[in-house]
Amino acid sequence: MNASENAFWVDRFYGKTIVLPGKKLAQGMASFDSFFVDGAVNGVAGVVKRIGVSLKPLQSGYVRSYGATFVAGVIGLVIFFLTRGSL
Amino acid sequence: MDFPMLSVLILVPVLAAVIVMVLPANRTELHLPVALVLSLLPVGLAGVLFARFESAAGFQFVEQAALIERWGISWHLGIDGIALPLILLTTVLVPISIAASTSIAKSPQLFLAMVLLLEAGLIGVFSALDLIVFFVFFEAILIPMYFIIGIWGSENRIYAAIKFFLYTAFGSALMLAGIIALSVLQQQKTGFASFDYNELLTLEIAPGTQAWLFAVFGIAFAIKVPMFPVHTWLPDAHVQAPTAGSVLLAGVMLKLGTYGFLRFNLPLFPDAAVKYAPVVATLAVIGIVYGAAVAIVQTDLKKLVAYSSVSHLGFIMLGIVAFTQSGLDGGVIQMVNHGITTGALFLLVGMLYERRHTKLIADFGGLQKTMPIFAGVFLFSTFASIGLPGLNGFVGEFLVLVGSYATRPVFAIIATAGVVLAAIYLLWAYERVFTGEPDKPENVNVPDLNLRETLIFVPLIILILTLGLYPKVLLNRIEPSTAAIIDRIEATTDFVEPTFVIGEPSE
Amino acid sequence: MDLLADYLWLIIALPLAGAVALHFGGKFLPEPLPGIAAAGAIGTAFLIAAAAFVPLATGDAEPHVLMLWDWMPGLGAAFEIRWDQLSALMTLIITGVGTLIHIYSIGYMHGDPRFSRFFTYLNLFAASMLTLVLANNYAMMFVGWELVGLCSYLLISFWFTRPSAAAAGKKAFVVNRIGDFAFIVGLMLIFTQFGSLTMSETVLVHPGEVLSPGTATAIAILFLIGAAGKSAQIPLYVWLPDAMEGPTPVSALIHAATMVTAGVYLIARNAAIFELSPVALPIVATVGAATALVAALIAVGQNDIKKVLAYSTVSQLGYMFLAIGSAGYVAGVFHLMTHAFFKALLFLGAGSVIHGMHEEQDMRKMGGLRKAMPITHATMLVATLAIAGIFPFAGFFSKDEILAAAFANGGYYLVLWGVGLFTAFLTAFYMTRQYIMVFWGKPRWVEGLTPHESSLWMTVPLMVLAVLSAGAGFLNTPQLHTLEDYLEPVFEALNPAHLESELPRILGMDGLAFGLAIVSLGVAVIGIGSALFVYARSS
Repeated sequence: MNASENAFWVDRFYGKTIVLPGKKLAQGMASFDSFFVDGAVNGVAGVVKRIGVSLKPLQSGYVRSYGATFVAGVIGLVIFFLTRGSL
Repeated sequence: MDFPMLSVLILVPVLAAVIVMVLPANRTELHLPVALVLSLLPVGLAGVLFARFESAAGFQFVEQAALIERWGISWHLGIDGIALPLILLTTVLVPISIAASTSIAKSPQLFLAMVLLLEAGLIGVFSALDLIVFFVFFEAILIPMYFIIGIWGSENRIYAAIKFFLYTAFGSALMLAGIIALSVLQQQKTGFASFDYNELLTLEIAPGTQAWLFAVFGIAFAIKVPMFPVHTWLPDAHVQAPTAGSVLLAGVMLKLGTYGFLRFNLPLFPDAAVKYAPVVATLAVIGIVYGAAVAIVQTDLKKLVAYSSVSHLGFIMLGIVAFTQSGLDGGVIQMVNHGITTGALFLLVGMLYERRHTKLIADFGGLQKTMPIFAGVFLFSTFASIGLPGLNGFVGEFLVLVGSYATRPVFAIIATAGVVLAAIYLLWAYERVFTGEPDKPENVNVPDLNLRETLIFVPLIILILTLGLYPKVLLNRIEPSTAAIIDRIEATTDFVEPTFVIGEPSE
Repeated sequence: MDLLADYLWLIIALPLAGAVALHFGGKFLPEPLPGIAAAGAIGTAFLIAAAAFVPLATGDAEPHVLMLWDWMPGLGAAFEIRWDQLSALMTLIITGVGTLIHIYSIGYMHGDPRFSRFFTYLNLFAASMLTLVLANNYAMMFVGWELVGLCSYLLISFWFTRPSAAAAGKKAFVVNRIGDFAFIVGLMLIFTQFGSLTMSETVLVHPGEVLSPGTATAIAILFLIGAAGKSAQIPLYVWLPDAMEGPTPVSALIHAATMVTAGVYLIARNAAIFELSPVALPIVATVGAATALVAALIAVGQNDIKKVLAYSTVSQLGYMFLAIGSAGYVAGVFHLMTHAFFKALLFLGAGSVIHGMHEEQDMRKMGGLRKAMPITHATMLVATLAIAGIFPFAGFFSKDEILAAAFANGGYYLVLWGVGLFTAFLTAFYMTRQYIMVFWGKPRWVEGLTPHESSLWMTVPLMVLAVLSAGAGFLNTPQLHTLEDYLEPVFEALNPAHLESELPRILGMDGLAFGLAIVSLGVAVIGIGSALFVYARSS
């Protein structure tokens, strides 16, 4: 009778086997997202900063060095593509 | 030469921005209404485009004028069935964003001008048929968005703005290199330089080179989409951006990535596209499930919507690399749908923030009792986003799922799980924010939507229903252009689109 | 006679228009006008359906398809109405029972601050459910399928300030979505196999030429999972008991009479696919029998008047699955119909009791209500006898046909027949228990309570449903197979792969059929007797 009254505890069973682990998994993925995926990006940014590029946004030196890095990067990439035999 | 519709469409918002800026600074009551009225002009022009657009492949409303002849750069504009819906979406979302920006206190003139400049840039990107022109617009829109987040954002705006800027600049550098490499190739093959899209389409590029070019363009666009694992700028940018910024960012700017894939990666590098589609599809499916799962446990409402975008954009990418008619059609129409529904959700979160100065789910509760109209609109948008058939989100999702099932069944089945997850994260959020008794004192007297705010949602709700029940208005115009892409892939590779004929069993 | 053929869309459009009109204008109307408007909308739809049904039943009109508009042409998705014997019967049940429940709700929701909103949702539900059953296209059917889920969500959490109601609504939608996941994958398979989502171009024409047994099994299992979500079968039934948080008319209309039968309808509609698979129908039957048994066992131990009925619904839906899985399609649809009558009546009666007891739902605090609520008592007694399977009430005939269908398959199905028979005993037992606890014995009411009979808005629908619960069984008796003949065009082409087609032969033996009927009647009587023995003495 107890089993019947409590509907064989199916809801509790689903809660423990599906809902709770599911939530934990989602929580784990969210932590993974902020620590590893985003962390990797911020890590790279941190390294760049340490090399000496200031991250202050509107400082003219930054904009200039950003521009210089950008152009240098593009030129480097183009040269890289063009020197590959297949082109 | 015909009337240069597209140039005018780009120019009108620029002029509007100038007009808003020259208004007397102390007449603050004028700024927003003027900007709003002016932003309605592009809607009318886009309506003309829509009405006069013929459902056929190829570019329409084409205009071309040489800019730098020696390098083969020209002011070449034109739209096809893929660009048209996105231009419509842009012109519709801008007045809505402006109307929702009444709470901008810091130099509203500059803010409105930035939004209008952003609009010009977006229209430019979607209509450019010269790769340099495309690139210039692609970069130019970063500037107003950077300022919108960096000046009018919340506490952590500088961090978010820089993150946004660096991420996309990295992609842009890659893409620029790709563009230059393409034109060098062109010069080697034909003897004259050109950045013209149609010209470059005729190039036959060796498979190895295609792979590299696909990668550089692909990374640039993947960041914009954003695809897993380069999506982490998005939640930060959204959480910090003001409402109008979020609406345009999610509504339109993310589509630059998916649009780029359709416009460049598939037609220009078909060989590599077929070869690397599984990689893209894998990342897309991871994005669908991962974005949805992470959204479930978000505590910040805006972040939740941001992660839901990662999931929804995954659907679009999955459809694009399915290389089937339904998949591509679904991808394109889903770009529009996501812009509308997510736009609506960001507007709602923004209005909630204006009232309660918090976006944390835990701070709310029982709001359906205090603001029933708001709750109704929120629930409607929620179900559109969940993909309830009859509303717009379903059409795109269903086309994508069936379309990708034809070529990638396992991916499609996993992606379908995203449908279940979407119901969980959105309805759970709704439950916590709106149901129960408003037990926190701050939630007892929150004003409901006023007339201005209600009117903002009217066009969105109409679009959600129209595209949900009669998507043919767009599908008719999209189909010839997407079919042309598939034809091109089939012509240049050994890929064959599976077809399903009534009465004939497949396989 | 086919004047109505082009206007069948009105059947959906009327309640939809009612919903839209009430949504925007309902709050300006005083009680009971919104309710009358909503009831009028669905009532008119019923009249149109009835008028279109008559020529179909007499054979003066053929089933036909009415194209409305193209939706997603690339997938063959369109809005098109299919008017055949099965969809017409479903339409009559939905609009008929629906109208009665609308009228009842005018009394039940009296005084609720969101009176008109309730009818908005109720009308929207009716339109959605009709979209589901009238669809000739899987995509359109899925629209209805999801919209009834939406309405269910809205109506379960209608009293949203109660956290339990809000949670129950969300749970219902999410669990249903798990079923929908399978349904969508099934649709992908249908499209890639057939090249269209139009039923009259696919499963209704030549499934055997297109589908291999393996593919047919895959589609069938996916549809079964989808059906298990909507029709609350194992393992997805857990949302339905919680759904009782909704106002009681909602439980009657959505969670007993109509929406939860959508899964049964889905499988019946796609029976041709299920029959191509060697295992699909036995699995359906097993799920059905297991659900019937488990839910009945749980119902025995419930003390909340609505929870008993909720688990009873799950159990009875299990019977319908058992019927379909035994290739007893007519039996399944027959039980769907009789169940719609007597279960709607039971819920509405329970609502009347809850109202009379001032929102008390615990049967341990009831008792002796037969004098205070004579009409409710009498009608509930009819419904109890009907569901228990007592001759000549409706449930006797339909349940007996299900058990006969299971028995006729022989072999493994004899086990399922045994389970069904034992469940029939449990059904009679828990229903009698409920009837005694509510209406007999000494009053165990909370002090100061004066129960009263409900208003005419509520009692008249009870009486109409009581008549139907008492008499509908005669639509299909072994001698008078009206329903069987009527539905024949829908199911005649079917020939289940897993059966050796013994069904007609065995059931043709009148003696055996009669014997089986006596057995199930005997079991029901024992069930009632045991409950009387246990509960009548103690109270």
